[in-house]
Amino acid sequence: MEDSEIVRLFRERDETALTEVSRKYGRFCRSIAEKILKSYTDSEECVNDAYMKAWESIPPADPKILSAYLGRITKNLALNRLKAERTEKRGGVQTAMSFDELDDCVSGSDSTENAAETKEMLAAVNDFLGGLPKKSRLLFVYRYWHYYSTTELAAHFMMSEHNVTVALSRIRKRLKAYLRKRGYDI
Amino acid sequence: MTKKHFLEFIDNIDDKFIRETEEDLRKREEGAVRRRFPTSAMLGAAACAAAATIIGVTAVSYYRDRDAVLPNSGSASSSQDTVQSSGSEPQHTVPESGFTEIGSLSETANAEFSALRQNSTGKLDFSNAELTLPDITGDLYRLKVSPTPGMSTSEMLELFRKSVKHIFPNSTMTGDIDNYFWFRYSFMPYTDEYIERIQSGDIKLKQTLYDTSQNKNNSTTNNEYLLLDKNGAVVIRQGEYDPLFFSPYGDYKMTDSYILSGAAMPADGNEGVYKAAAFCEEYFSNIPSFTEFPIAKRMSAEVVSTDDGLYKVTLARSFNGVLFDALAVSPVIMPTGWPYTSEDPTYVRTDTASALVSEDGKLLYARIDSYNDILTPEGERIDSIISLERAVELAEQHVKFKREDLSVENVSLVYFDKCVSPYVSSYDSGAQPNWRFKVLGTDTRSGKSVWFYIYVDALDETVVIDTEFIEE
Repeated sequence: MEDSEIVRLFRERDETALTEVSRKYGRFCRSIAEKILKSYTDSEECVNDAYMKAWESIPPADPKILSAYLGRITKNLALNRLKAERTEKRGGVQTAMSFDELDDCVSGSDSTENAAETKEMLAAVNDFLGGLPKKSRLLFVYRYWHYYSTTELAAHFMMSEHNVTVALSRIRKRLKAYLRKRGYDI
Repeated sequence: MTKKHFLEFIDNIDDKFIRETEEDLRKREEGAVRRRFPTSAMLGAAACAAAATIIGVTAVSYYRDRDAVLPNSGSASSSQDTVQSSGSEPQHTVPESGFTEIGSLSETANAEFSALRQNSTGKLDFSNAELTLPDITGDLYRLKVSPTPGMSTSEMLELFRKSVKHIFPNSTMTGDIDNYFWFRYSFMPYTDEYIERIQSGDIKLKQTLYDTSQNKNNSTTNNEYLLLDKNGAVVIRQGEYDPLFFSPYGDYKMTDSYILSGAAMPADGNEGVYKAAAFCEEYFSNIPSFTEFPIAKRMSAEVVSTDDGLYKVTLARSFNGVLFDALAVSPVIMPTGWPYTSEDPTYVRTDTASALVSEDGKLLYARIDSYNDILTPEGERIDSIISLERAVELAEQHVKFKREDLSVENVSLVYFDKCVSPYVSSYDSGAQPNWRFKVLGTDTRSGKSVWFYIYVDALDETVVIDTEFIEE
């Protein structure tokens, strides 16, 4: 079923919408949750919660890209769940998911940009990603949006872990250079 | 920005990029479901059953990799490595589209192919060759052969040429030789009828990822090209099996084109240069109009032996001063000969190139790999390639660090692998430009000779031992 059709069902409060969403995007959402929660049961719950959130939010929300909309809800719920579990005793989500490689990319300073600057920088990042070859873009998004490990990426793309690591490293370097050229520093 | 902020920032990327991953996951999942045989052994059995049906032989053997034992050698074969199959295996349906139209063998070809397979006495041993249909949709034909001892590259090449021509007399072939002497061949059995159908839009081309790794030491993500009819059924499936050669069909409208590629592998020493040159030359000479190439200068082959003992082979050069600098195999080999030792890290250069040429000689695509001219996918020159000397030094340091008990005797260059060009990005192919070496040493404890492959990333100096240590 087309996304627009599913959204229409949501709007008409037709519960078939949930069945269709589950059929079409269930695995995708579960994949997102599992990468964060590392638990099938927790992920299932999280995905069901995401459906409910979607049910509550559409309408008034009118998502143009349903997969991304559901993906974002799922990811936020999964991160919140993880945070609730680990924040106090282990220092939060960052401990659970290591992104050591970002040390060479971000400055580490806690300088916060204003909303307008952030928006502009995000637009630049989107431009950058849009200009990448598809595979590079997928690598980047799987790693930093979906939180795939390099091992998972290697299996997914049939690459060696070394190649994944190096490819990601180059993308980060290019991103940094790209942003610097435009006056941003991360 | 902190790492946390960075990740939160990336959280807000455009929805379309998230959708792209969803589509990617779905496609991969659908692909996995379509492949009904989950193990290589089962795959082999299915392939053999199908192949046996196709080529009319009653019993064939499937070998998982090139290390498998030959059936006629008298050696015991491992059940893990070998799956015996026979005509009594369950037959799998080969859809009408595709194979029956394009792959029917003539009786003569059938017999000759069978004869080739059964000949295990000569060097051109075909008993371990495979004709497989790895997917029961039946549209991909893959032929491969494992090198037998004593078989030269030219003999292997000849074997493949013969085999493919036997099966598809009208096919156009592409081929290359990699550093493991592992031949990968793909061929396009496009007939006039198909070309017409493609041009008329009756069938269309779709590019997908083909996730078979052909070489355990050289994992690659390969590309697969599907020709689909209007109903979405697969008409032709073609795989590309090497990250070095990437067909641009996804970017170009498919026409009556040939994809040609050639790679120089001077592993035979100077002789290899000539073989490589001959290889390319022959392929291009098979297109009559090629020498009348309308937009490039005439392609010519030249072999120059200079006074100081250098050999230079250049097959073609110059395309309106643009990228198409050479269609060439041009290693320069120093008189010190092969192999290159760490004590004498002489210069070697290996250029490879390929082109996509339409039947009327129009250049649709060309790429060149020259380590002197490495470009990013955006066409920017990369100047930071580390030298061969530095690569050797790094390789030796790495080996010393990893294996203190190993006395390195020889570090020989296998080749320089460059996968960055405006057409083939390292990001697409998953490969980086690297120096690839074969290291020969002695285990100081056991006294045994040991060898292995190692590669040094030419950009960031990362060193990776690429294979297991193999005792001779």
